[in-house]
Amino acid sequence: MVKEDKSTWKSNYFLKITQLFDEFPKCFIVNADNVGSKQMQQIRQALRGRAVVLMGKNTMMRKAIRGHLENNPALEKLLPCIKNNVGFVFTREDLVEIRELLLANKVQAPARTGALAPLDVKIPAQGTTLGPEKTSFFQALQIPTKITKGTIEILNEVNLIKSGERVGQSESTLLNMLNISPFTYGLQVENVYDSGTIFSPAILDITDEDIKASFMSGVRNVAAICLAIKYPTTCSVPHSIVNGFKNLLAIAVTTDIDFAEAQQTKEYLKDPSKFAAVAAAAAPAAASEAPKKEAPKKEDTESEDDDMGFGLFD
Amino acid sequence: MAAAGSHVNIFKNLEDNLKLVLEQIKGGETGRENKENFNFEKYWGHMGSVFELLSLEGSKFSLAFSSSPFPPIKDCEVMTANLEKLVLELVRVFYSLPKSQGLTLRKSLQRAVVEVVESMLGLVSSLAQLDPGAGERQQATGIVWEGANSFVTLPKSNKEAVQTSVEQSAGLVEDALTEIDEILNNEGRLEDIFGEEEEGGGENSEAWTAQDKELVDPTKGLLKVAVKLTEKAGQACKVKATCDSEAHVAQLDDLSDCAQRLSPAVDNLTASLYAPIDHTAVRNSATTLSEIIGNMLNILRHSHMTDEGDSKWLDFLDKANTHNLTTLTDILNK
Repeated sequence: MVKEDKSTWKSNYFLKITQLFDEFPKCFIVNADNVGSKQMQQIRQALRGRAVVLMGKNTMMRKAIRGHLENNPALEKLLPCIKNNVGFVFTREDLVEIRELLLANKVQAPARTGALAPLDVKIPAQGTTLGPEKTSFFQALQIPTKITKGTIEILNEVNLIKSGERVGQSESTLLNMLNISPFTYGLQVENVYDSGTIFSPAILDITDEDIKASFMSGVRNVAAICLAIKYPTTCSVPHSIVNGFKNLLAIAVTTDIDFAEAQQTKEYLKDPSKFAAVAAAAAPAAASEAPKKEAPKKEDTESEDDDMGFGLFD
Repeated sequence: MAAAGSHVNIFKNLEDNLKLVLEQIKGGETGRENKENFNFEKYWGHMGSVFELLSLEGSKFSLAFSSSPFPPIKDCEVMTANLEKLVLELVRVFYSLPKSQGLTLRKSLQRAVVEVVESMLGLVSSLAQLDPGAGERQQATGIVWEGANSFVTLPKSNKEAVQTSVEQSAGLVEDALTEIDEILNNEGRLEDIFGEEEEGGGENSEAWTAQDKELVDPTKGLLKVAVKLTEKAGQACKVKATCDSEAHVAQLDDLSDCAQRLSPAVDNLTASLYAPIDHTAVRNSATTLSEIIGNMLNILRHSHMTDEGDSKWLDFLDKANTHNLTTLTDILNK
């Protein structure tokens, strides 16, 4: 391999960066905190042929992007994201698949003193191989123990570190003594860039159910307005009918007027124990059938909630 | 098939119209006149509703075209007409913000408006294929939602917009200062960032000369001044800035412009420190940065955001700026 002139190599550095933005329409902006060089090498190998990793000098990357804005103005949106320990994973392939590859390349790591805990760390009740001379460590952390056959036994499950807290020295030492590596580190996807748009990675997980829920919130707004201004539409008519039925029921229970649909309610009011018996019988049955009937049950709850809200307009 | 063709035509027309709207938002001018009865609360309330409705329109289109049969052409025409009306309302409301309320605020709003229209264009383009992968449509819908939700965090006054701009610049300048320490630890070597070391890519890196090393302290000094300055400017803006006169609004805009030029200058100077160092590049970058710092101090000193009590830190940063540039120039002149 012919060695390039060093100044040329430095200027080519910028060229290489901008080429990647030209070549690939999409990329992940990833945070590489706690990812060592060996792990990074493994990640590059795992992605080879499918994605290219660029971990670099932030000032150089920002400078390269600014110099390339004339050709690709959309890249400006990336600039505020390039700070701290970040890099890019460029790809032409499906973003979800590449993200899965990134997630698969996490490694277990011990809890170092001062590190921010990404999750809760619990130690289950267990026998250890530690001798009684180590009891002071457990006492310092107020962990109940006893000595069984010459070794320390932890009596109850212990919540040692909470997510988001910094790992203390005692916690770190204890976990190392117990040979527990509680954290897993890898490239964390902070943002996604796709053809000029930046968005959060959560968008890759959106389903049609989420879209339907958003649509329904709009439908509910329309229904609420229609009920308020007494202008019936397809959205509001079901609620108007339910509200009308409620009124009929209210009249029926306070007068002698009777109709088939009101009979059951009247009976319950006459003898509430009947309702209690039905409710008690229905509860376990509903609990056992809950997984099967999850979807329709959800609809029922929703319509009940709606009625409560719309009752305000009566 | 004819129906599919008509659907495609409807979407193509909608795409074209949205592109025209984008051009209009990016290139249009707003009136400078100061509307005395301009009601901020009403304005943002209305703009917020338009953003929210755009989010719901995104859901409606996405759901309607999530599976065939697609809605009849007649319904599609009504849907697109409603969306176009909403987008035009967005443009109208955007242009009803007078320029006198602040250029930084206008730019910030313009970015948000462009983003939400672009996201809608992305969704329409994905639907225009009539057989998009579910993932592509869902992603495009999510981007519309995110664009519309950005309204919540959008600055609602020039003061807020400038503060955001200064804080953004502060974050990047601070990041560059951290990088200087890394460069120092590596003696100026530019590590391979593409993971090609095993293929020989890393061979080209070299370390500093003795003179190069001397440049680090004054450069770091300049960057520290820049970091402190953005920090102080952010505080001054937060505590003392007001938008109650055109002069105050203009001072805020000047501060934001200057802060936005700070990060590129800091990056140029920091990047020039990697070996092999081009001394002319370092000199030019340092001079530019020092000028921007001086300019920003001047803007702050003569603005409503500082008073006599602030002259101590303004003088200190001014002196530190001059001192570091002089030291750096002396080393380069050796």
